[in-house]
Amino acid sequence: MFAPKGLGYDRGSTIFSPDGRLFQVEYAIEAVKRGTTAIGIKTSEGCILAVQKRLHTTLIEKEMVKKIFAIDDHIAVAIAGLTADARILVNQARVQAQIYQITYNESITVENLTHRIADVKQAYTQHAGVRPFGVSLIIAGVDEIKGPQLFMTEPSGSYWGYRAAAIGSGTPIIVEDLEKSYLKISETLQEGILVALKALQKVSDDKLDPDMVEIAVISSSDRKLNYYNSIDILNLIKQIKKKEE
Amino acid sequence: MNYPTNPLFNNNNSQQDQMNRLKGTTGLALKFKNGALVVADRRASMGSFTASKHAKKVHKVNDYTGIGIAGSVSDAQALVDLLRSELRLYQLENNFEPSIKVAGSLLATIMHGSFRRFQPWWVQLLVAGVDRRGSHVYVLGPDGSISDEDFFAIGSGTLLSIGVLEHSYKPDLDKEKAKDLAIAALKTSLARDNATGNGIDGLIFFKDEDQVVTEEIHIDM
Repeated sequence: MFAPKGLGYDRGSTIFSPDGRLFQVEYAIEAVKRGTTAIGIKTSEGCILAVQKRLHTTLIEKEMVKKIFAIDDHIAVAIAGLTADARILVNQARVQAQIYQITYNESITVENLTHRIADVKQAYTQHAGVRPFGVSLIIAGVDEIKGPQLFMTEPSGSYWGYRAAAIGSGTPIIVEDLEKSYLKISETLQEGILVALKALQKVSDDKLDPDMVEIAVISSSDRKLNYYNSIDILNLIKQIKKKEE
Repeated sequence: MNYPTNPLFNNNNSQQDQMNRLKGTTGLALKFKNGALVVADRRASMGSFTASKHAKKVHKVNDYTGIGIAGSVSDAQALVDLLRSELRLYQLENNFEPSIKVAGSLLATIMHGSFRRFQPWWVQLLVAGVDRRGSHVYVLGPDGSISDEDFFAIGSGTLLSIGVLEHSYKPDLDKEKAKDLAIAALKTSLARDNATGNGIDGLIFFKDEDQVVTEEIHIDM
């Protein structure tokens, strides 16, 4: 009678509170909000993924910290939240992409793959004895028919298509920026990459270190994923500095 | 007499019967100085009937590995598709390319597992390619056996073609000589084996300044 409102409804993840909320799902979303920032941008020339890395200690091998994962030749995901949870979804996504390829003899569409990942996430908000995935994914790729595609999934299993998306701790600031500038950046990959880097710069505490940023691009021309190395990224950072001066 | 039976509508599914269906093909693979190649004919047969004049029996599974198939067409197609996907997943999970040995061993594992459960993949396979360890040819049987060879042939023309290879093969052949020998050995089966014919397809993999290059062979007849 005197218990605080909602007490007990966050014990099992699959139990509704009286006002229709799933607390465990909301906590999972909270875990994503505390994660490292990831950005996805769709342009007419292809898709861009850019993420920030965070190290608990400087002893970690920087190149071993990965937040962008290839799913197939033409699709990649960027993650924010619990990295370990993300790895499980990435593994399943890779297998699903190949199952589709074998079954239909064509590459999976970005939306179909997103749907399959979202179905797994949804199942973990409904079954007993499990907890939701504490991770959001930005799924970027180039379809054979529809061209560049960008989606974002939440721990609840819902997903939407985006022109530009951000997840992780820097989201509020970056989304505000992207909403203002998107119409200007939607044309070329080059512009999109610079916008993504600038956004990361804005939400990082100190100067942008090329080793602490990961950038991957899927171009419409060849439908192939390409990672940028730290020299490429360093050059881009210099380019931004020049423009600002 | 077993002429009028159409294998598609045949109720007699004895092993002997399946063996007869299996054997219409000749495929061969060989290693040479800086590469490996695999070639096969284009005829798909059902008993004495030529079911296809342009069957694809040499498949590329990645930039440096080719598969030659003989036996059940459906089994072979499914197995090649499966292998292609498994190798892609291997690359994504390990961040390095699967070697030819990995491709061969994986196939042997899959095929032996099925054989042990009394549902064999009804195929003979050649795995040929070039990786950082050099050039390789593997031969696989439907029981899941695998062997590492310098040259080998599969299918109904095996004995005819392997005779030619046995006589003329040398390990240090250059690419053109290897290609000529492979085609000569295959043409022997084209000429003398009823279930082999209608042309030749092939893949040649060779190292050119640390890069693996692929060359295709297509001979119409």
